[in-house]
Amino acid sequence: MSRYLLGVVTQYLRGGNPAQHPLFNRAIECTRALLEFYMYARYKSHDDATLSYMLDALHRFHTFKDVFLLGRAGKKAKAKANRLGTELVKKRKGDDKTNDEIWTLSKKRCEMNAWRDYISHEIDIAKELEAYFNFPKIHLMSHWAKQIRRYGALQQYSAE
Amino acid sequence: MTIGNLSSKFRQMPSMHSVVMVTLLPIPIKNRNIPQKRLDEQRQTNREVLNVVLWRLLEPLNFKQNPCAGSGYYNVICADGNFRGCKPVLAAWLADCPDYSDLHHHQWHVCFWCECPKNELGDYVHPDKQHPQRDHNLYRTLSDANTKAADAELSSRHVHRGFNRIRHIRCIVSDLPKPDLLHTMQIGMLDHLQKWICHFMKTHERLDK
Repeated sequence: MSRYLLGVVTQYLRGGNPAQHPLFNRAIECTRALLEFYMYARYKSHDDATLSYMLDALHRFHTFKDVFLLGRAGKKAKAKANRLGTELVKKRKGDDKTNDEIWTLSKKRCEMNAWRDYISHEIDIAKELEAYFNFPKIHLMSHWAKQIRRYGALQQYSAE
Repeated sequence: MTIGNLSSKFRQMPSMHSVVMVTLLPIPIKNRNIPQKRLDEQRQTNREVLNVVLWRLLEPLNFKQNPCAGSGYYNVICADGNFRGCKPVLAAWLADCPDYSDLHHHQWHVCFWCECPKNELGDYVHPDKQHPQRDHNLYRTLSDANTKAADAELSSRHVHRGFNRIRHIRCIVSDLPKPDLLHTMQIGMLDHLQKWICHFMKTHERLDK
């Protein structure tokens, strides 16, 4: 599976509007770094050079991982963001009411769109602020190089 | 139980009998609908039961002697019928992360090699600036001291109080655990990555293309 993942990701993230390009590139880079790390780890023998490549891949993964932060938002973060969302919707409705007679129909529609974008943006930011990458597996990776130095190539004692 | 210096080719063949089962560790029943206080008590009991089993398991290895530096040579009967002087050395063992947490009396979701704080697990750790290794001798003395200050110190390092057989092995315990790292990667990280990518594509509306 891991062999095809990067190809699939690149294929799906091709094109799109120019504003999304940097984001997509970061996602691809992150995927690539993690897979590279995995592939290096699967080597049957290691020396200083391959270990340094491995650590480099890990570093790159950690620089680019923030792009997936939104997907890490837990239940708490989501609930908090949704509360914020409902508050903003209330505010929007209040705004609508006060300006109901002054605004024309097209102006109303324009304002509506602006509000919607603003609200979804705010929700995303709230989620990202609450999300985190704290789980043991991601930390374990930082010990891999040391373990390989200590016990030899990982394939030797893999239970797959 | 298995021997360290086998090649992976032989070890992974079931017909070679390279891994011998010694005991089944007790697995506690999952209780979800009981109050928190009972749950904590139950967990405490579970830990103690596990420890007793472990103690019985490790007793023949005679831990009065240092199993790592190893002064004890044993006469062991080998497969060819001859006796040889062997020196068993406890080197490492394989388990999953929650099992290590149970065996070492750690809290869950912490690293069992180093004292990384729980909220920094996701950060990048430079290879030269790693957190200090877990010191089981220190945990043993703190746990024996049984004072409030010692308890606070222990919980700040995410360790449970209580007797633990593993802390009485006279070697660097934090050097022993050897989890199945490739397995962790395959079912853990790559799975996470897939989920993230799916979510990422959904938010950017690229999935239905």
